[in-house]
Amino acid sequence: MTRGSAAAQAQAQADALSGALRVKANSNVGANVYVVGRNSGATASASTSGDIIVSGSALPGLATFTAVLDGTYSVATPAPSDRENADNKVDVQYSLNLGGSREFNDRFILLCCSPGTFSIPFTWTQVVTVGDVLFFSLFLRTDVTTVAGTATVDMTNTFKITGVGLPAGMSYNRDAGGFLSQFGGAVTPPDTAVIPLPASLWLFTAALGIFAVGLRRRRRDA
Amino acid sequence: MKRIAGIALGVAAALSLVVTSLATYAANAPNAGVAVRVFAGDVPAGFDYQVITDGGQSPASA
Repeated sequence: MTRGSAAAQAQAQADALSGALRVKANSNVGANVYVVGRNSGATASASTSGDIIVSGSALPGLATFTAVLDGTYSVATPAPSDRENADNKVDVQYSLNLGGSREFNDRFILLCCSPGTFSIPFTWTQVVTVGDVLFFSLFLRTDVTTVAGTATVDMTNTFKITGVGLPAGMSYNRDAGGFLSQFGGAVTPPDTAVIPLPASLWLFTAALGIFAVGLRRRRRDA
Repeated sequence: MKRIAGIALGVAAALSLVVTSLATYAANAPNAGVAVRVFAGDVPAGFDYQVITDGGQSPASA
């Protein structure tokens, strides 16, 4: 039996119709020191891709595509282990293609002990012609692990395409999968109400109840 | 004796809380997918993994 508490959650959403990904993960070990076998972790990833077909009757011109990756994170390890340690971390990886762009990609690891935010903008400009088929793809993954304390990352708001700027007189048609057919429309956030309440809370509550009953009986017997 | 058993059960429950929970929000088109995995406690105990590549919303827990 492993002493202490450990819990993890992960969620991911890929919305091809609006060109957005949402990923969130957290892990928690209710302890301040490492014990072999006591750990928790979560991985969440999402991806989407598709084409748009440039239409209209304009001459070739410059198009600009933009995207952004926003997130918040926290890696908190209680004393005496409150220092940077790869056992408690948030790991983020992403890749992105905008039209005919090179692949934007990176990986970064966030360690103890200050929470923070990140916002990474992307811009790509290229010449487009009516009839062009432009490829877009987004991939986002996070891994969180802890042996003591908590590690959380929230990118549910969001990794998304923010701009499809075509020259005047041009528009685009969606591909068969409907990619970007709802671009710029209302985005439905994840239904967090369906996330199961961590069972540890229920167990802890049950344990407290048992203690209370025990104490009450002890007082009554005395 | 019952008191001791009750207290022992409570201590055991408080000290061995090893759980995993997971929720996924699936893609809304064939060209989108998500995957989630969680673990807690002794790996690989409590390990779960799920990949969804078609439509629908699929919360799940383990």
